[in-house]
Amino acid sequence: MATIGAKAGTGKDVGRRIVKYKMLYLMLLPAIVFLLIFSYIPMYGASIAFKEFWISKGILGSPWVGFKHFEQIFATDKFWQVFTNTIEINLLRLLFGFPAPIILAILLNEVRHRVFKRSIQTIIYLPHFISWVTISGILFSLLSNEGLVNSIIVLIGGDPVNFLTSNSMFRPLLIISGIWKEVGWGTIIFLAALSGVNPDLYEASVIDGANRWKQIVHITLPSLLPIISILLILNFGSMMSGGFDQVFNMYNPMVYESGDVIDTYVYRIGLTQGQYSMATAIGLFLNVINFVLLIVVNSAAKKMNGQGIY
Amino acid sequence: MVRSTSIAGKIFDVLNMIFLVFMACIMLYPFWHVLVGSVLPYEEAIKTSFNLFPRSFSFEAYEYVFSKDTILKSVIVSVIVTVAGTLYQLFVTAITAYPLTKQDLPGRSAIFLFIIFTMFFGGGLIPYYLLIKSLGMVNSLAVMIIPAALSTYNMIVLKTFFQNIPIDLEESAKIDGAGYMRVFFKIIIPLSVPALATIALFIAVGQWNNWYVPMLFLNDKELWPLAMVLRDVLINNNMELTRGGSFVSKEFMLGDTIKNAIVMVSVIPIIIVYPFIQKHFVKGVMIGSIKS
Repeated sequence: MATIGAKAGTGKDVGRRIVKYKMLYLMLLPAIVFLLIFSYIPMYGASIAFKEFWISKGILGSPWVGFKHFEQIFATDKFWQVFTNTIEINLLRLLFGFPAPIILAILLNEVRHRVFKRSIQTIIYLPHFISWVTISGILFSLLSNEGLVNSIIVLIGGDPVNFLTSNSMFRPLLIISGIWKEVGWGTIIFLAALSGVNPDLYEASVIDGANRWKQIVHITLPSLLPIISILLILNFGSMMSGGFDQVFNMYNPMVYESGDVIDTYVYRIGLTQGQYSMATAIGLFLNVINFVLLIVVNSAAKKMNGQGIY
Repeated sequence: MVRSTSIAGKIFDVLNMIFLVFMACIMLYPFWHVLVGSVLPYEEAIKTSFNLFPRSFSFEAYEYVFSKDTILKSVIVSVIVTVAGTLYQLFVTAITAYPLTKQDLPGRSAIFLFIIFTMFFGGGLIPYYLLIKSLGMVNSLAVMIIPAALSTYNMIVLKTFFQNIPIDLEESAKIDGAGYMRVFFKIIIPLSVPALATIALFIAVGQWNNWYVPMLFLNDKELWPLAMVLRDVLINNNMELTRGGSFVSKEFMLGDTIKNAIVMVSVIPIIIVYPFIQKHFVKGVMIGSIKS
């Protein structure tokens, strides 16, 4: 009724509703003001990507230079290295990190003992709440030369491995620690989808003589397919971003070659080296790609599901 | 739930449970490693890396951590930033979510778009950095609280939750002459405690763990929260804060034990609080993920 009224409403009607809802506008005011200041002003500030930024002159006073910084970036080998690193690391995350919570959720769903299931859930959600600073610190201690892992390797007759400074080990380390932290949390959405499955389906399948494997393949997995496809599409939308906290706390100059990503690169050249315009240009390039990806991905999700993410 | 109960099915059950217990152990082991490492006397710690169960305990590292002004101060800063930041962000998020549930609010979709656009596009790190600098918020604890007024994601979760509250409750209060503010504080808020508790937990954990904002904007070590001290000690391996200065001192020998103790101090509050809210947040995450 309300929406029909709104469509057919005259100007007077809208005016009346504005007066009626004046308190609600007041409630919205703080968020609008804060977003204007802390989100929209920086969007304007991104114009320094097209300027020769001097702190003394400020954003407004610095001279325009057009696409100079972008041309410079695209001519740098280092940029293309972090660009490909970002995509490759995200693809690896997708390949190994995406199926992990689905499998775990299916296994959890098979457990009938409620207290047992609940306890396991409590434990596997926990790492989600721990910061990457802490996790990296623990990893450093476990993987150092005198750490537990190398002690075991030496004990069984191997040579100690320099996990933390090796370019061939860094990506597996990122992927595995990422799965460790988020796999449990990731099961929530799949378990939620499974809780909506009609129990009669399982009952009927037992009568038909289906075993566990057949139940999983023919009932559990198909009921997860819609949510799997949506999440998969969404994952492609964040191909260019993510993982700053993890990489930033785990990497060191020895593994830049395999582990440096766009976000960490922007941080270093911007705030460590003070090349403000250059770093802003890369950041802007990244944000535009992400935004386009998101729109593409959302329309894909809409086509598949009849419902987008926004 | 009915499941096949053949012999094979039972074997599967047992193997499945063993696997899940194994997974739980993998999730817990690193915490156990740190806990044991924090109470291990130095003499034992240097003997071997395998210390699944310590044979003797020593709380020396904790005594040391809690005797250090720098660490105590950082814990206080963390508590302040967490409590103030959580209340503030929860409040702004809630008062933003409620008006947006009114379908016939003129300008509603424009305001909604204005808000969620910030979720998908931003100016990037450098312009934000320059803004905070020009606002004079560098080296002020306000930078850890004021700018984080609203979490768009949490706002959408709350809005969805508010929308599911039966409209009749609100209508009857309105007939009794209550205004929107009153309805919001007297009816909507009390009915939304589970959702609010969940979001409060998310915000609080984020504040407690926040090392990024202090790393960018707090150069003054006096203002550092625990997460930043932790980062300095763990990632930058800076033992200045934990060590007295002399290399032959006891602090030096206790180095790793102290690191472990600081990790425990930062992790324990989370471990204690979160199981209480677990049953709520599963619902909260569901609403959020289905909606977004």
